[in-house]
Amino acid sequence: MKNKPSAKISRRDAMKVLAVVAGAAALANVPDKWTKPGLDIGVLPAHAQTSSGYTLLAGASDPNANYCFNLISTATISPAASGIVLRYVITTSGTVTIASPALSGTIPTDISGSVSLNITVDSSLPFDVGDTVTVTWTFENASDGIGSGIQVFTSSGNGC
Amino acid sequence: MLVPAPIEGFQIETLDGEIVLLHPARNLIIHSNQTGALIWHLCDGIRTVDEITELLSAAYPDARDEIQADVPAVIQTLISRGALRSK
Amino acid sequence: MKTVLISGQLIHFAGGTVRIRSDHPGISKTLEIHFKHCSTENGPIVANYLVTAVNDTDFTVSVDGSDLFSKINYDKALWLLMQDVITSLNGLSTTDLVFHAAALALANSGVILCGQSGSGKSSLAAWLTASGFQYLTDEVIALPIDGDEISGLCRSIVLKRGSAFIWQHWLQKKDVDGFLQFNEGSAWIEPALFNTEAIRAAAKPRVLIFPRYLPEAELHVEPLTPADALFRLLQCLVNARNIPDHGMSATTRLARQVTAFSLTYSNIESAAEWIKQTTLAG
Repeated sequence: MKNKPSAKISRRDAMKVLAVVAGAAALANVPDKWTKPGLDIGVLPAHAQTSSGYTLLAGASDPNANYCFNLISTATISPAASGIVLRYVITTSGTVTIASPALSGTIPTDISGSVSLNITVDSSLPFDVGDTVTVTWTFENASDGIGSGIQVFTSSGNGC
Repeated sequence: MLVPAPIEGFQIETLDGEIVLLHPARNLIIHSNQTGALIWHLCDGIRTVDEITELLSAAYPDARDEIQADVPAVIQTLISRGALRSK
Repeated sequence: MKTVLISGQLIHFAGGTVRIRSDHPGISKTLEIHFKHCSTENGPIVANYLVTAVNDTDFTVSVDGSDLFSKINYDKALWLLMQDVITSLNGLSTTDLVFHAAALALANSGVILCGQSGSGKSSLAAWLTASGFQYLTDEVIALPIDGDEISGLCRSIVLKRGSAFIWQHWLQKKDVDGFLQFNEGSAWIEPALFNTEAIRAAAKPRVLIFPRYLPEAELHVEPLTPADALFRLLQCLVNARNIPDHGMSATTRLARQVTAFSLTYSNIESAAEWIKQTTLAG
């Protein structure tokens, strides 16, 4: 494929184009001379930088309940803030097996500083008495805060 | 042929020809001086890098050599920082 | 079970209020002294803090009934409480833009010193206060979304161990209530110890400085364009996510309202003198 032929453009026309792309009434802001383009890159603070960060609290463990196939794990950060990414890791003991979600993943906090994870247990395998599902919550970015939260679901019987 | 286009989601403020770009979802803030701002504005998803270079060279004929080097470098930086994408 | 001895102290900032209480007389008194210049205006309570003493060496900090930190010593309890109180007030504000910055005022001109930890905000704030400036804060400022005056979280000035020369230079007496030195060497200093006329609730900002402490550096000042000032301010805006348009328009207004500089320094006296002359000239 051939390159497009380069159409010569006058300086005056080029300056007009620049004034248009730079926005209305921007001709005064189109520089007379070319200077080295400068770029500075920065980041928005992820949270109030004045502290050691957020504190993470997992939902209460329920040591003795009749579960069926669905569990909901929760965690909250203090003080509340949205958009802080938390990582969960699900581990199990006994025969119980997780159908969904993936055993590890990330979820951003909502406006109340909370996350919620719906866990579905594989219905073909029993959630036997004494089996546990453990969800460990941590900050995806260590600079966001301190601590981790662990929520343990222990089956005391078939709740289906 | 590289046709750079801005990533969606930027808030833009122009002050005296300089620009500040804020992309909250990416935690990204960019400041550029007037010439860098011109390059950003010209990355509209239609013009190629060559066309942007040619246009700026026509506007600043005395700086043709610098522009030939500056424009691809700035665009490459903006792509690598996630501010531009190549169509 | 212990009885909580005091009803609690309110700290209001950026549209929110926290209440802090302790059952330990020493902690209660310290908090009362070092937050005493903070606004106590009523507002929605965003957090209720309680510091409880398990024994003389073992403390727990809780918020809204949940333990935040437990089995910590006296010093750590005070530090962690201070940090969390500030975080609570900063991050949740939806009415004000909150910047990580110190602020002072001289006559009718407000000065903002904006920067990350270690840039020298608190040190400069202490030196300038002792040199005749009025003190708003050494840590966080609030700018109402539609306003043009800043206020500060007027806690005591917090000087790290490396800045001890400042209080050694300016303070005659250290065995006073407003001076608290921690074991690791840092200190909380009630601003009135530096200047009895020091406290200021709000000011219209005229000068914006981004200080950078660099050992051995000559004093170096660079004027900043409004766009550069905006770029740097946004990096200090700690509650952008709670503000419409992420605070871009209000921060732009602030950037246009002030004369902005970057300031690199190693000698605090010459840096403070430059700030004073610039503020008076502005």
